[in-house]
Amino acid sequence: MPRPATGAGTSQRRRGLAGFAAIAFALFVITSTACVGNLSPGGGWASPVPAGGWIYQASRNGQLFRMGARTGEVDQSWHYPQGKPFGVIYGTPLVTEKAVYAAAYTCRGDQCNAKVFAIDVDTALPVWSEQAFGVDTEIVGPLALHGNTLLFGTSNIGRDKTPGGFLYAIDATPDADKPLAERVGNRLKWRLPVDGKVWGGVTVDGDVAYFGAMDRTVYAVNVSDSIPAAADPARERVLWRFTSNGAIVSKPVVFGDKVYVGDFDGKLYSLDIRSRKGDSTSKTLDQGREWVYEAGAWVWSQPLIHDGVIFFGTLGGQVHAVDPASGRSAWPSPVKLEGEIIGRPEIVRGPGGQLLAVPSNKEDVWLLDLRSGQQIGEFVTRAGVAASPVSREGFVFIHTLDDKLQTFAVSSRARVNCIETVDRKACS
Amino acid sequence: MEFVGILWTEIIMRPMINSIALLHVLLFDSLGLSIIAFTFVISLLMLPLTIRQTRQMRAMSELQPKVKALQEKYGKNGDRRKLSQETMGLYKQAGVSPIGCLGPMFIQMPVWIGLYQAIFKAVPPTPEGLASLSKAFYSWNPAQASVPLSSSFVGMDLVGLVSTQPIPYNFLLPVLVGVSMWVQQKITTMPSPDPKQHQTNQMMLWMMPIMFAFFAFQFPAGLAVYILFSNLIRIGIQFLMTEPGKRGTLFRLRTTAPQPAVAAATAGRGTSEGDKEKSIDGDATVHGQDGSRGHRPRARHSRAQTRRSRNRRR
Repeated sequence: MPRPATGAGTSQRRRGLAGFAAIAFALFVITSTACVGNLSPGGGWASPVPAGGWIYQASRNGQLFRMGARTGEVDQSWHYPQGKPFGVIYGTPLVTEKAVYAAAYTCRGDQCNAKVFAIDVDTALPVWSEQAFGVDTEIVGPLALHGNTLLFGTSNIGRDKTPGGFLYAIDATPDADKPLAERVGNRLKWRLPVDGKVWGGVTVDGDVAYFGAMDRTVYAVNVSDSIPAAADPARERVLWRFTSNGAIVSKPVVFGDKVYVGDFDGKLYSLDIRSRKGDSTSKTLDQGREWVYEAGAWVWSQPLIHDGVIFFGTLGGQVHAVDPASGRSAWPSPVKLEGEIIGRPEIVRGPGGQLLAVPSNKEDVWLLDLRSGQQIGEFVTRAGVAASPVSREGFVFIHTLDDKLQTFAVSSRARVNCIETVDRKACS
Repeated sequence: MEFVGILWTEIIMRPMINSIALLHVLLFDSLGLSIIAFTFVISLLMLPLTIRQTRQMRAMSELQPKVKALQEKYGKNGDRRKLSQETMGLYKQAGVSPIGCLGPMFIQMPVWIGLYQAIFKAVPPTPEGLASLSKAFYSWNPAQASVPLSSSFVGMDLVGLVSTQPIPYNFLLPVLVGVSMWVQQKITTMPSPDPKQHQTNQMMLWMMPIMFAFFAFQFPAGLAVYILFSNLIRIGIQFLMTEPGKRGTLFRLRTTAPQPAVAAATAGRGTSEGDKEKSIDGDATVHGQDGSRGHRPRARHSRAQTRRSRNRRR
């Protein structure tokens, strides 16, 4: 009969079991974090939108509401959706005279579903006969409108990795109050497949839409309705393509006959709209008309053009001012802030003149002198800011990453109002 | 806690993310090849520890008859303290650390957790993740221009969970992880003359692979690929560390349970060296594996050490 093990034998077994338990625990930690996951979006960073005396805001959990721009009071009768939100909203809502358009998405595991919806600007009721236009993908960038065509970029659809993304064009026509026969049967007009995810916004100038994708390409696309919807968009609509050295998430900005866009290779490009055609790369820039500016860190923020200067921030925390004609720095040196700059800078008009307000996703919105870049002060938000601040009539509206809509008086830089966007109540 | 977070980021996360991204660029923009190459690099870095662990396990195994003899001697009296002292003395003389065998296993754990996080961070599925990725890159790393890294590999999405991969990867990957782990455990677990220890080893031999295969369903496919190749590499290392003539015995399926009589025969200091030699060899014969693991010179060395110290005590 074997004797019961004692001493060393037992301790050896204990070691074995301890090792087993430690590995089981590690596996549990790994899998439990996988389940709750990094796969799901954490919450959007939509900017406030001023329109018709209201500030429209999408909360990080996907609720749309509005607040009086002067009164700071939330219109409790106006919010959407009434029930469960469609998901998180990253892109700033698009507000027109009649409707508010927005896109939300949610993910379960690696399966994402996006919904594009339109609601009445007065009643917050859906203006489309269907509740929303759904696609199995992510929509991160803001929507753009051309006539009655709503344009937006997406990631790949479902689990198909190719194509990497799409530019969607859907019919924005309100039809909720129309008879059945007059309703929009198929809201999809056309979609352009591209090789990378389209997480930046689409900029429309005339009949041309400009957008960048993570395939490192800037696309110029004819979005005119004169081209039949059935035409192959890759052949019939793409006017030119420009391949840079890094992924493009920054929303392009058009100024004069140039389009300006930043990339993840830390560069800002100036591309000539008039002379461009076909496919080209960063190595074939027209040196006489175009330039490339070295920003030194990834560019996510959309550039702002004000008073003949381009302002933009990088994920390295630098703020740059660039002369659009020469592509050279307009400041003695870039300004370094803490955190990453994702949102577009904004011009703030105060009693002392104009200042550049730059959001930092670490904390606060920083105020810089337009001419020198010198730091003048800040709006103390006590939370990160990834959305662009919005300035109106002496106030600055800031959507912070702790999901508050904060209002600051430009003159005193003091916070004068704060709304918890989840429950639309005053901040506690 | 913030300090721990910084340490984790700087020592584990950033080097991992940068290595994976750099290997991705060097290896044809393939995250799969990058993870496999990364596994080789990690295995190479851990090679000294792995070799040490294997030697320690062999030495431990060779000491088992002596441990058993001590158990027989002091177990009868219930003198656990003395038994523990003598056993530790025995380990010390042979230059064996009982916890030394666990080293590589504990080092692997932060690598698993780190790699799990590194895969998600290197191929971020969310906008927040993409925005924070810029901080993770070293400024000199040319791979940052290649973001976003492609996560496709032979029909799999390495960032997606194994359970969501297309057929047959969704079940093949956990099975391969389990089987490779079983083989790896099988050839590295040293037999023990203690029946209860033997039983524990047998339980671990089956439980660990089953548990890993089960959990692998919820791993990102990239992590499962890492564990699979990590197992294959350790099997290869074990194979290479075994004397060529004895490699065939590594993969023998059947192991016989230890015979208590063998251990009993070794009991007591009064036993002659010749008997001890026989008993150790006998033990090896019974288990069918001890002999195959070789390392006789080391065993003899440790026996000689024991003899010398005994003489000193006398």
